[in-house]
Amino acid sequence: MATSARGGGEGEAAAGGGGGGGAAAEMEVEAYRRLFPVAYFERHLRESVRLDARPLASPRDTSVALGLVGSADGSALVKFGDTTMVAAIKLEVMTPPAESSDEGSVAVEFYMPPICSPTVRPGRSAEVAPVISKQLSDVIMSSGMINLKDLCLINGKASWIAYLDIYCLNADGSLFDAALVSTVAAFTHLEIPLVSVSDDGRVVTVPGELEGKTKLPLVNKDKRKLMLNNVPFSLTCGLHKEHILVDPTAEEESIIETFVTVVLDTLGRVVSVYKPGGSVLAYTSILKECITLAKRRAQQLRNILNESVSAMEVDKSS
Amino acid sequence: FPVVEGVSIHNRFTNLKAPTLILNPSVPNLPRASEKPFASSPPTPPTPPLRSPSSSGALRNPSKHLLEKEKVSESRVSNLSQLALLWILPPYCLLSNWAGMRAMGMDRLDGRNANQMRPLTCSRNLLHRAHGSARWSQGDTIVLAAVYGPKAGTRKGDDPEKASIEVIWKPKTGQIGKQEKEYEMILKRTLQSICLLTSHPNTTTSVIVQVVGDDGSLLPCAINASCAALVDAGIPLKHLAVAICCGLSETGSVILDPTKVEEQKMQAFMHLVFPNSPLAVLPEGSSSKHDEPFEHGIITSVTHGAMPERGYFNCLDRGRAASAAISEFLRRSLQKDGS
Repeated sequence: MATSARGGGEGEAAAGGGGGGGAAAEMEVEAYRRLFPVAYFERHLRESVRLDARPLASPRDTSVALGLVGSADGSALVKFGDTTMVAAIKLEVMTPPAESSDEGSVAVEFYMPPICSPTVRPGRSAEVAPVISKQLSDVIMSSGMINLKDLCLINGKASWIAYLDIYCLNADGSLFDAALVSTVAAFTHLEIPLVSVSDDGRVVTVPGELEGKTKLPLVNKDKRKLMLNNVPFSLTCGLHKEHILVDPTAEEESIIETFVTVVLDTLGRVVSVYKPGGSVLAYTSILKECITLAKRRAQQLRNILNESVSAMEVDKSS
Repeated sequence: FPVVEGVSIHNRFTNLKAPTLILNPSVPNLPRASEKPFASSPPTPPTPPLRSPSSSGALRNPSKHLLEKEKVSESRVSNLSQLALLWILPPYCLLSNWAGMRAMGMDRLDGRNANQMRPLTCSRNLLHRAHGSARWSQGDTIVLAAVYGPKAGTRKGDDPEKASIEVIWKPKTGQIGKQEKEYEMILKRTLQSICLLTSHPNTTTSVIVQVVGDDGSLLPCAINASCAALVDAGIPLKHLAVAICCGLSETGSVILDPTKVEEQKMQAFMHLVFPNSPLAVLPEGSSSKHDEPFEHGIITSVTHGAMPERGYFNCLDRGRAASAAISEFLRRSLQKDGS
């Protein structure tokens, strides 16, 4: 009730100067949008257009910015239209467990602070947050993007643990996709700090200025960047009756119940096809189309990421 | 509640056909009278005569071996470890498949071939306080599901015009973490797509899933158990859901219903859920456009591990074929009175 009144009020204020007929029409559209969301949405679908005037198969404008968090070893900010994600990686030295003594580890955590959406309350975290954390860590492991052996420092004694934290600043649909791109971007930006062994045998990080003064820095000297192979990119499509909508916004997500998330990697392998229930059944033809759309999107995202990496390198050198 | 649903050796081996897909046919076909001797005798440890016949002996003269066993103890069959033993000794019908299996390089630890599932059992109405309950087992993976509902009211964010489903997943050991939350969400969305949500608006149905044993293919087992429990509770459903796990190896061959050990060796494995019904409440405009029958659509797909695109579609095809057999089993066990 409150939202429809607000919608009506907005309409009135906006069209205040436009004359009586204009004000009434605006109010009606906004009110109709809130009161009958499904009918409003389907009216748009019949013209093959979406609520924000996008064609059905086109994703929103994407932008990636690297290195915004100064205190983190790697960070990235990703925007899919209004959906905003900040990913930050902090590396710490740990003792690896006996069964994987030559491997490091990656701990992924996805946070949805109350700032991101009116439905998220301060006390209880959003239901979808731990699920997305788990999905992200599954995709990172399945695609083999990071070779855990690269995170090893001294076999059996010290290795890196990468704490990857992703904060959703604005939740406007396609959260998993944006989170995955921000993860990949943050790992691309990651610069492993220098370490050396201190006198009492502990491995300590060495800030840049002290480079020449302490004992020989480990393996690190030439291994400052992580090699990423088989980088995964994903695309979420909403299925509504016979339409496939690419990159849904939060409003569309509240109307559509069925989503398919396809994750592909640079080799063209299917890393994951994730369809958690939903009233629309996915036939082979629909799945094939989603995979084709995902391939296109992966190419697009790869280009955007490469552009931002080269932009960052230009900044650093200048 | 009963540990094993009355398996008689005689029925087991005579009912086995030799098609590519084999289910344990024991449960639904048995007349109720045969269950009495099993329930009355307490489980006893296996005696030496059962263990001594070597596997080669069993193959040479299988019928003699069978008769011997039958004489020894029909009542002892209720012991689960004996069942496991019987299953591991290669039954005669797998002999012909054995050569083919070795050729394919697909030697499964428990002697199954690539298209063979573990023995399925389903029993309903085990818990008397719950409105509906079911226990589904696939080999050593056992899941118990209980349904309470519909109860009045929905949670704050949910749409009051529809019924809502709440899932609580209890692992066998350990604390509740992200894995359990993910399972809860997948199960909730799968069940939401099969229930008729508009028939009881503004109500909540709770489904509680308790993992009793985990040996691979846990999520499909839980989905099957929840579906059977919903039927047991009488919640109106659009159609049934049957779930299956398929594994894809590096060579591209597909195996059904992998165990935990097999899942780790596979390049990728996936959980698939298919709808099943002779008649269903179809969502409007869905099947008209597609040449594929209703049963070929997927309700849910969750994959682990990277695989080539063709491999994914191969697994889908195999999964579909297997789901027909599982749904047959489900219907038969649902139609027989709850054990």
